[in-house]
Amino acid sequence: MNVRKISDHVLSLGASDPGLQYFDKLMPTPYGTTYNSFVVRGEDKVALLDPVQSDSIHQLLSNLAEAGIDHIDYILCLHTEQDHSGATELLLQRFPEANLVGTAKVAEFLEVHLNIPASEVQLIAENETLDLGGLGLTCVPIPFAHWPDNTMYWLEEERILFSSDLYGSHYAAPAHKAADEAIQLETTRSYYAEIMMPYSKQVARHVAKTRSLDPAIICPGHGPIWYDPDKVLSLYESYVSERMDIRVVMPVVSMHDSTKTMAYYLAEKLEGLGIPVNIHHLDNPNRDLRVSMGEVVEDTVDAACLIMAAPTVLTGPHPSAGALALMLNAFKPPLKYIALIGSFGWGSQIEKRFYDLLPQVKAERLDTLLIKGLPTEEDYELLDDYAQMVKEKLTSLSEE
Amino acid sequence: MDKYVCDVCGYVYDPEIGDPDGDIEPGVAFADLPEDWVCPLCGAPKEDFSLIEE
Repeated sequence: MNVRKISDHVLSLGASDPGLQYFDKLMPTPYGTTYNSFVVRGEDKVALLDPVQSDSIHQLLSNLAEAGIDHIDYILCLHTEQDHSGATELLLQRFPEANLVGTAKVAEFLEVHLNIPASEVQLIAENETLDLGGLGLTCVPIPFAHWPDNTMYWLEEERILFSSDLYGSHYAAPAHKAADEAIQLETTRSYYAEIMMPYSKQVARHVAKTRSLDPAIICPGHGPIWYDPDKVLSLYESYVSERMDIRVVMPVVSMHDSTKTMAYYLAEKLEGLGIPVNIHHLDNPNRDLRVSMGEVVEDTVDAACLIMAAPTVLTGPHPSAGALALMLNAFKPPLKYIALIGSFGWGSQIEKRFYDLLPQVKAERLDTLLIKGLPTEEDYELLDDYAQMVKEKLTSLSEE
Repeated sequence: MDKYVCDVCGYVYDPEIGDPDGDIEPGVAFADLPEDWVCPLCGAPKEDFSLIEE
């Protein structure tokens, strides 16, 4: 069903999961995902790169049968997270002649996550080449893109790079036609935000390494293949750069509309001062909170400022704002500024409780603006001043 | 002596403790760690550590 020829020696025959709603039970995947797997055939040896998740083994086996692959010499594991490695033992049962190949870190993690003894893995070191006869796969570890074990393999003879999670996207394109480029770019951005952004420093090095290899084709672990690698490399270079857009990301949660009134007023003032504001509602009853939080995280890839608008609940932040803070702390967006505004009823320690959840977000913290109850005339003047302060902070960035 | 934090996982290298699992005795400054020394928690290389400003 899903076998594609990439070159004379390389086939794509992984599994498709178009119905997946959330990856890791957390990240929205409106276009589903794929668990990619590739076969490289040399003159002497056949290598398979990445088993798929265990639930998808039947797709992989059926694709291998369709492609007429009845013998595998090497099964290379690029990353031991279960969506890529879960079917390893099932694949070895079907191809008992195959040697499992991976780096020392992959071997260690296969034992941890799948109880496959590390001693059963044929080790390969950085820059070592697995010879397939007339072709070879060279090992290029990419630690923290996004686990310590992620590994790329470089098929120099055909300038094809198997990039593991790097440059991936959650997009199960229809099997019978080419991927929609707009969707591929959109899902590459959200994938970067949720998988790569926490390690942007390490990812920047891997992107530079990729540029030096100058691949003609990139085969990632999820989503469509890149036949014009400059597109995804340019995107990644912009994401890992220091430059941020002058834009405010404003997540809003409100119980009785006082905080929402503040947020809308501030957003309108900022827009009037020429600062774009993206409001994200965390309190839409018709949407799963994970969808809204995912959109916020994605918006922070290249935004200079985030202003959280949240009410105080029992002296701390509304738990929806707290959940978002945990997300931001984990994904470490490269924000320059972060701020908190909101309404409280009778007493609040929201500022401390909110920022206690954000030790890893290194953005400069702007003054917190809390208003008791519904904003008054005086409060609106405070909001006017606040908008001016935010504008000046953001404008100072573009002057740097 | 200065402490360094791993940007990846938050592990703190304290020269007064060293890294017993990595055979680093107490008293070794971060700068004097071998170039191939890695974070004992997550495996990140030395270049992924940042100075902790006291």
